[in-house]
Amino acid sequence: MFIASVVLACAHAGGGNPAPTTFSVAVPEGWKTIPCDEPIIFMTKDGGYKQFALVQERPLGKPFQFSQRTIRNDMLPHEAAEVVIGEIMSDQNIRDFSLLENVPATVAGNRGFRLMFLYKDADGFVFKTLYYGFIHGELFYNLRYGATQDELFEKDLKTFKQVFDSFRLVTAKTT
Amino acid sequence: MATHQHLIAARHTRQRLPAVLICLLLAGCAAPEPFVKRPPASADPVARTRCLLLEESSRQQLAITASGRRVEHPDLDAYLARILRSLLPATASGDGIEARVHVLRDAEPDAYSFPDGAIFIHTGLLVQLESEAELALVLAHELAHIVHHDALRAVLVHPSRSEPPPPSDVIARIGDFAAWFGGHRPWVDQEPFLRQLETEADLASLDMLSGANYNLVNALKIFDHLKSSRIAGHCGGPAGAECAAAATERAENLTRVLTENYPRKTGRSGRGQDFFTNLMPAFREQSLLDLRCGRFDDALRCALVAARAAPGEARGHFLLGEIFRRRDRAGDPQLALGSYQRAVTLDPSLAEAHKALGFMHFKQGQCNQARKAFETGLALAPDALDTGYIRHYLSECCCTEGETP
Repeated sequence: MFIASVVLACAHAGGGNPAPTTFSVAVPEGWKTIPCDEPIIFMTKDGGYKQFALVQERPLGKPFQFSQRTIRNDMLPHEAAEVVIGEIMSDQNIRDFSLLENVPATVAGNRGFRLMFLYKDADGFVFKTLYYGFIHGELFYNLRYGATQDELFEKDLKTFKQVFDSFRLVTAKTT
Repeated sequence: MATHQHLIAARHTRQRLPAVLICLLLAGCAAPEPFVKRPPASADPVARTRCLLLEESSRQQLAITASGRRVEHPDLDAYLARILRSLLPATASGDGIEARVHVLRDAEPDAYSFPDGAIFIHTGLLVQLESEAELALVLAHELAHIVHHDALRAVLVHPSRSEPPPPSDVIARIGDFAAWFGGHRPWVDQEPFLRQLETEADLASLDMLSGANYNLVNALKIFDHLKSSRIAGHCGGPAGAECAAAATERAENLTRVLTENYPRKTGRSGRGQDFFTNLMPAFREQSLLDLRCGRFDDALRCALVAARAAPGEARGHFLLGEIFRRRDRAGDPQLALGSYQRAVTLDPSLAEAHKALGFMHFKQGQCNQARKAFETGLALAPDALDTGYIRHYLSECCCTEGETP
């Protein structure tokens, strides 16, 4: 499952220097980040299985893990969203995927998409996730917020909004 | 491992065990109901076990229904029910068994049965079949488990265990068709008694097919088809070779029994277009599943079968368009455009096809055509999930032909 794989990737970093990114984002007060050896910023207040916010950049040519599909820079936002949805549906560990929303969105001035979905992971946890994505140059950026309970989701949604609003692309990679 | 002697021994055992059990069952609980009232602990152990199995069957089937994977298509359901009726042995009538088949939207090539008579077959298996005789073999195998009360026997006769296996475990392991072919619960891992039950079901299915005048030689070709299909992929890893060998051995054993005991080599195979026409909804559903998961070549194979089976259906051409558009290899955009255009010609009210044409034109900078197609699509389905995108693209749509948005 995604959270498990991110935690694994981040744990692999062993608390060393996080991978450099081409974006900056503010970590809310009281939230902690887990350093990753991939260009991902994973943050949580009470633990990834309660709630998390995640910002990731990935090269366009890099195939997604389960569907092996790639996002190309000539794709329209709804096409990139299709690839993301296909990846989630191809993950054998995900059950009862339910797409609640799939709409265009603007992220830091870039044309993108916003998804809202529910799914159950291999351990039976039901996650509600908000997923923003957009293509910029040769990278695909995504910002996600997920929580295991509706009330938790609603409670920290405002905090994620702060993360979302603070997101900026930067010219030089930062750590 | 199933040997020829094992098959013959199983055949004799099959004739004894069910007869005893069916008599015992007459004193058991009533015919299957959605919710079975559990008898008191002091009740006859056979009746109690049967009720526990039925209770577990209901629980698992409710979960399947709740998953939303059921493909409900009257023509497909009627076709499968017809085959099942032709296979049902006369001895099973009056036994309280209500055999029925349900199709599930699931890429896993599998089929399985429940003690209450329900058989589930996945679209992932249906699209691998090449004849009605092969389909009949799958259904007959599952039917055999039901009419022989194999789940009940597995709980009551558990020679290699000190404790009876739990009903949920038995239901999960009896009649799993993928296991039959060395699939995800490999045949080689089954306990000897469970293997014996599978072997008995193999033999009984040959009897049923013969009785229904199916061509047994063609029915057994299912082994060749499935070996080369995705089902083989479920048998990977270190146990892969052992799995494949077990599946091959089983096929060879069945072929040997066929040669020795069934001299008639004729019968209906059902390999014509009618077979694929009857299974068309399953091919289309599987194509959609493959498309969503990015398995474009698999999706295209199924969609082409479905389109050939129903050439006048706009949805089939729309599906082809979706596959070509998302696969996006050289020449695919033109094929997608052609498929969408064919779809709107066949059914001008198909909103998705208009919108898809709009997306294609929009990407190519053909804004007037994009606008026209988007507006038609929006008018036909104003509340669709992708309305936000359409309105967004419409707002970006310039009106000058040839200008890239």
